[in-house]
Amino acid sequence: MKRNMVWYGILFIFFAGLISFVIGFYNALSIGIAVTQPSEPVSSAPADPLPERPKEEKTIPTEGVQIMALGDSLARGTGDPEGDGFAERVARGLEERVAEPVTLYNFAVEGMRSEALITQLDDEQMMQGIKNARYILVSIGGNDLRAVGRLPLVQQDQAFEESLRVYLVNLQQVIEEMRSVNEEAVILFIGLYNLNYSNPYAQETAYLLEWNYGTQQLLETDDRSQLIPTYDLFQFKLGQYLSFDGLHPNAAGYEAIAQRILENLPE
Amino acid sequence: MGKLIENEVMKILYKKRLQVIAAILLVLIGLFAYGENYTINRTQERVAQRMGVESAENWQNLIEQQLIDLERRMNNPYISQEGIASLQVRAEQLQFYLDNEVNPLNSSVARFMGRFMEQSVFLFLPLLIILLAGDMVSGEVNTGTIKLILTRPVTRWKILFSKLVALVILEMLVILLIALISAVISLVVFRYGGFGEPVIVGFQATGSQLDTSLVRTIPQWQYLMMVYAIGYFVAFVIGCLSLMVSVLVQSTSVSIGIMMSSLIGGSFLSFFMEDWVITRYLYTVNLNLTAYISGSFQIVEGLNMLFSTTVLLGWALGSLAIGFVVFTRKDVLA
Repeated sequence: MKRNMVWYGILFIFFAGLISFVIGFYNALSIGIAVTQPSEPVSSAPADPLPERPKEEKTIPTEGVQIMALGDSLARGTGDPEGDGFAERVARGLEERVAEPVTLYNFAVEGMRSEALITQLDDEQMMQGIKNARYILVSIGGNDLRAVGRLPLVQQDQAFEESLRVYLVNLQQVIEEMRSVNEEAVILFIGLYNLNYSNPYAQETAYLLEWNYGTQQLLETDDRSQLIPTYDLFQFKLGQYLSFDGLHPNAAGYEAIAQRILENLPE
Repeated sequence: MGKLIENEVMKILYKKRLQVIAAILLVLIGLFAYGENYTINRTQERVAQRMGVESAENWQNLIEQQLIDLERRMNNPYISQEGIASLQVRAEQLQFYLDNEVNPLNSSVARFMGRFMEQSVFLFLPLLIILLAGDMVSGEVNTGTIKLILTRPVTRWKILFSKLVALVILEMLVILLIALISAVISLVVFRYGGFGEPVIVGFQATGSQLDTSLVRTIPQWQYLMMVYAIGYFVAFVIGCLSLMVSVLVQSTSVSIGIMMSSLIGGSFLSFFMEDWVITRYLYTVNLNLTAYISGSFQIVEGLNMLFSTTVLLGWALGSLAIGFVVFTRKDVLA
């Protein structure tokens, strides 16, 4: 009798499970097939697709001062409790100066490296933005360099040479692509600051200086672009300007960068 | 026939196999939950640092900040439609957390259950099934009981078939055991169900571009149903293979050894010979079916959901065919 109860219990559990798993597997198959087979027509997708976003055809603005912010987490504003970063601050500062409305478009992605920036520039809609921009703020390269610092010491020298070379080639391409659509815009690159000023013999400091110098040299080839140095800005104020993560600037740090950018902007 | 199947199921239950599996699950899932809890605490500290605040306790603020940032990005006229679609699902998810007062940095029972199955479907789950099925036939040969079974007036295919059905039933019990144990343990650790939370599925990687036209959110329970159904399918395939091997060899340890080494060796092989097309037809390479719906594509190129399912089904049916033919014809000398 007891054995019978156990057996029927098992059977019941089995069939209940089987039914739900058959449904589940069917759903999984239909989603999985729709996702992994791009050639399939979308109609095979299961019901309830993404609710259509009201497609008000967004008009591309043409008037006013347009600022583009590109690059890594610094341009995004990571570490700033207000979430503005230097880009938003520059836009606000500029608004006080000029009579026209100022709009900022931020394309920065956290953790971005120079090669990803090139891929991003393949986007036509984005290039449209570059074309209309008057100022382009770029913060890139910090993640390229930091990757070198994570390698074992013996490999660093060679890796540094290699990444700097790749970075400069990428940077050149970035400038060329921007210039191909917009010859007038002022392109401002944010230089790298040091996280380790206290040890003047640190290898990283040497790399960083060489990196900044390489960037600046390259930018000299284009007369409407500039390197905004931050190395000196942060030197004595690391404690004041860095956020809790010890990597990104805090609000004060971003404000300092923004002020420096605003000082350097041509009228 | 029903009696035969019942007998086979009871045999395994008396062998205390399920208890062993449950014990393994208890230990492993306990460790997993502990580890996850530890990681969450670490992440919370890191996120707090990254956002420039002192603690992530005020997570509502963090989410609101992210939402504002997403909104800004979505209103950017220079971002393409596809880009906006992925931002939109992300915003939808964040909005859910905000509306339902769910801290996304904490884990939930549903998230834990899903993750455990995703992680175990390609290696751990198959090992459990091998443990269950490895000696179904060879064990009888080892102990000599096969002679008693075969002398009874039942045709041989019926005997093997009842073993197969018993295995299919027990596999279901194993999957449900995994669900149950991970649900109970994670409920103790995380104290939050979260079965209604939205999950993002349908990321589509074509080349290097991320196509987001099929991205949507589904509730967790629905996602779990899919993931565990996949787990059951994988268990079925591995069960068929183990049954065949168990028919082919005499010794239980050899049978389990063959299955384990093919499982582990097969996934090795695909690392070393990625370019070799034949590795795509190995069953081990195709086990990670859940990756196709969750959207983490790092698997061998050229694989897709339909292909993998077909290959696995092919292995299952093929091994069943071989198993039945051999079992009905071979001389039993034990």
